[in-house]
Amino acid sequence: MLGRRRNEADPTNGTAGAANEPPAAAERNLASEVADYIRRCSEEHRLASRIEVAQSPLSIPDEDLDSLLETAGLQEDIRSVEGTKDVYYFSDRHMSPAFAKLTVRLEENDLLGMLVEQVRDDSRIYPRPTPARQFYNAPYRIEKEQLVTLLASLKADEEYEDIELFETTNGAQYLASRKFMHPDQAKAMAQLQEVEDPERFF
Amino acid sequence: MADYGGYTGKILRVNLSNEQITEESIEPYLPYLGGMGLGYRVMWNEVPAGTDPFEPENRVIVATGPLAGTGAPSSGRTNITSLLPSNPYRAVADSHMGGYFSTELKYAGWDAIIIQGRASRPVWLRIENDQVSIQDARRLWGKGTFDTIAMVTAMMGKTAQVAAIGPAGENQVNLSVIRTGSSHSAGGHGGIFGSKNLKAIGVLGDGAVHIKGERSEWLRADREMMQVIGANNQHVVPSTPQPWAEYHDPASRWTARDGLYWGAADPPVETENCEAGDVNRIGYRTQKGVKDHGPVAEEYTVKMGGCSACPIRCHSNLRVPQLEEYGYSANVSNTCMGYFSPGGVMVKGFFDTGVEREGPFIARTLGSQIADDLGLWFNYGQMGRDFAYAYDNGILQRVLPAAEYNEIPWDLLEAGDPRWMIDFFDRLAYKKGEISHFADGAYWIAERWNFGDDYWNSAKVKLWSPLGFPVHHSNESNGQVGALISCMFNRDAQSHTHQNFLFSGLPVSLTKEIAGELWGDPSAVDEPQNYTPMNRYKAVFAKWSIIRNVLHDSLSLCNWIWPMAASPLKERNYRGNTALESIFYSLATGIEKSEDELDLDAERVFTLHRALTVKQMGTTDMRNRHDGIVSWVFEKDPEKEPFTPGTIKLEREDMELAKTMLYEEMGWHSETGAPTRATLERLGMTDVADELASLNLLPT
Repeated sequence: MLGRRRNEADPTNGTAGAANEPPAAAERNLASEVADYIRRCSEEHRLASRIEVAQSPLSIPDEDLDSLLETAGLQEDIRSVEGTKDVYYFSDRHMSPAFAKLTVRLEENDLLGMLVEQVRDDSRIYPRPTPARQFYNAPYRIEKEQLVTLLASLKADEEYEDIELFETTNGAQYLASRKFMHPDQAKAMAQLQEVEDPERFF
Repeated sequence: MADYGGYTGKILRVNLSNEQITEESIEPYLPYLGGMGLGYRVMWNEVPAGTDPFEPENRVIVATGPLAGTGAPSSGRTNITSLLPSNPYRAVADSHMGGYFSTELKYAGWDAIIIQGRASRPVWLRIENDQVSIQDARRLWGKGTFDTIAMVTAMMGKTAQVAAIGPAGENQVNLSVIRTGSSHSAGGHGGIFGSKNLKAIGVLGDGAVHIKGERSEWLRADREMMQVIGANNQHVVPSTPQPWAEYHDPASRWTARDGLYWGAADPPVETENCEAGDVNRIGYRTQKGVKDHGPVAEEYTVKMGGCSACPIRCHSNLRVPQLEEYGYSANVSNTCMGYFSPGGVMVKGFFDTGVEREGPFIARTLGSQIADDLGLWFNYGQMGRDFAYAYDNGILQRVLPAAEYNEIPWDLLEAGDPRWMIDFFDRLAYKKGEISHFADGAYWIAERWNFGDDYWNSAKVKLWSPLGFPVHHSNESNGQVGALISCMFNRDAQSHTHQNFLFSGLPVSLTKEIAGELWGDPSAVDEPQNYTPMNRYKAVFAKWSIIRNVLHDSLSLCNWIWPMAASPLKERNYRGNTALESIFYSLATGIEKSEDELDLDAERVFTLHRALTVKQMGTTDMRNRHDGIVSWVFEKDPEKEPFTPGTIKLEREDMELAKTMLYEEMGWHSETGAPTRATLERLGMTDVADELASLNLLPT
């Protein structure tokens, strides 16, 4: 999903000239402006979608867009992330890939996908169970009723069968992915932070 | 004394029995650094085994380290050393407080105060630079700590710093504190001040603490520190996903985020997303009110407070108007257990205000005010669990005289009414009735009221040691590592070295990588709740954690922040700099020491603590008589085997192996855990070895 375009770029895919030749100076200048635009978006904590770049004040003709983005992607910090509706660009000087990935899900209103991805990442990377209440806060900002619906819909889809929703003895809801974390470990960690040692974790 | 920086070079000795005030050099104590180390050496030299904590012969040492007052980051701690009344052997222990007291003491020209004897009447100690006097405290005696501190401040001037006891200390309650500032308490030694008729110490200084090193080098070290420092407890990732952050952890104390405010500030202050490396927003990273109390605290938060020279402000300054209904000030400040411990006696829950979590919030802030004013300590939350055990098992009906039992307003407790604490804490602080023995400490109350094995062996009661101190980042913190650390002291272990590193918020894969670099192998660290059997690297990690804790308490650094094992910086691959203590020490004092050399000094300090414990307990059998662990640690989760996912249960034989490995790392006798002559001599303490030998307390 995430890509760093500079080295993986297929030179035959560009419009800047013959294969293996560097882009022309004019294109490089415009690409540099595109990169700067993407950086400004990242500084404002938002992604720049392909469509947005096209419609930006740079007014890039559609036929030049891919090539310019390709060239902009040659810059060290410019990265892309694919959503289901568009490709999004960001500068990793101002935005982490993890946050970009999350932001795409939120941007495309794929809340269930976002929730599942967050739970799997938590179980795989740290590992830790995910407190359901964290989704109320920024940057998720999911309403309580909406979260209830999302959690219920997890059960209905086989694709999410690795995701377990469970409660600690004080009634707090947690999620974890059985694929990446032993369920007993997840439950014990949640119980420790909710009930047995809450002062440390709350 | 040689011309060192950092140190003032002078120790103040006050004999309250004959009112002699003398000055001596810190030179003999330099091998012990200062603070905790200085305190242990004084106790070894001057307090015979068998001394009762409340006898005039006991000493109480209020000590700073060489970094106090230098402006080194997070260097505001004051270390207090004395015999601990709540310990069954009355063994030596330390209590610590933050605030500005140690800095002011250095400005007044003193590294430490050694207090001995007993005044014939209530007194307070007035220190204004080199003018030191013993003052009449009859007007202060009987006052709470808030009034006492205010009255001394009124006499000395508003920039004075005051450490005081409340009625609990005056009445020689075992679980009592010495308090300074608005919210900084040293738990366990208030009664020692009380036994000496010492109500308070006021300090005012107009000097400076000079550093020997190049100012540019100091600035460079400071700049690096500001880059690698995280939030409270050296949590290095934010609690929510943020644009700049690769990682996050909902349990992190780096709670600042867009949309989270100090809501009672005028105008409200948004904490915002505080990026790593943004040195001007470090003080916003920890919104501790919300961390401690939940979202309900946001609108009550005025600002964050803290200690001298600390960029991390971890005490929440709250304005809670509801407290005035109970007769207490609306302005309250504290952090973590300062709120949770007093509130822990609300064992039947909290009243409902109709606002989510507001009942517990009001009760905990009120409990903090009452306890701080009376000068009560709660043994790191243990008293609440002791009370719950006794109450729920009908023990109080058995042990309290009927008249006393019947006059106690149990209805308030049952209703979750916080006025219960007003009544209960008053009984504790003034030693009113049999119920007041809860403040003797866990060991003594269990003996007095004949608590059963179910008390000692209950995971819910959370005792750690048969000596009566509780879990404090023990087996829940990396299994054997936290367990070993918890066995070593004479009270709950106050070590956060391991805790901060393990729960920094970084993925365990990164934590293990760093562990491999610091302690020899990634297997020093386990995944939480998924432990592996003991290995040598865990022993190295445990030793390092202990001696860094001791180092910090000897230098006046805060072990809730230090050491810098990890950092929030991706460009450093999240590595910190564990040499920063030695860099600041060398620059401050002019005594050039490497990281290893300073760790060796700390090892000397902790081995002296061990030698003191051997002497005071009168046995070399530390393994069985001192380092014991209560049974629940090995019997928790009966359906699970140790070292399987989902349990923090340990295994007895493995834990004995763990002790052996730690003893070996420390150079102590591998069977008994007592310091050997060879190790004492290696650490320059031949006189300690000789004295232990004369007492037949050296292992053979």
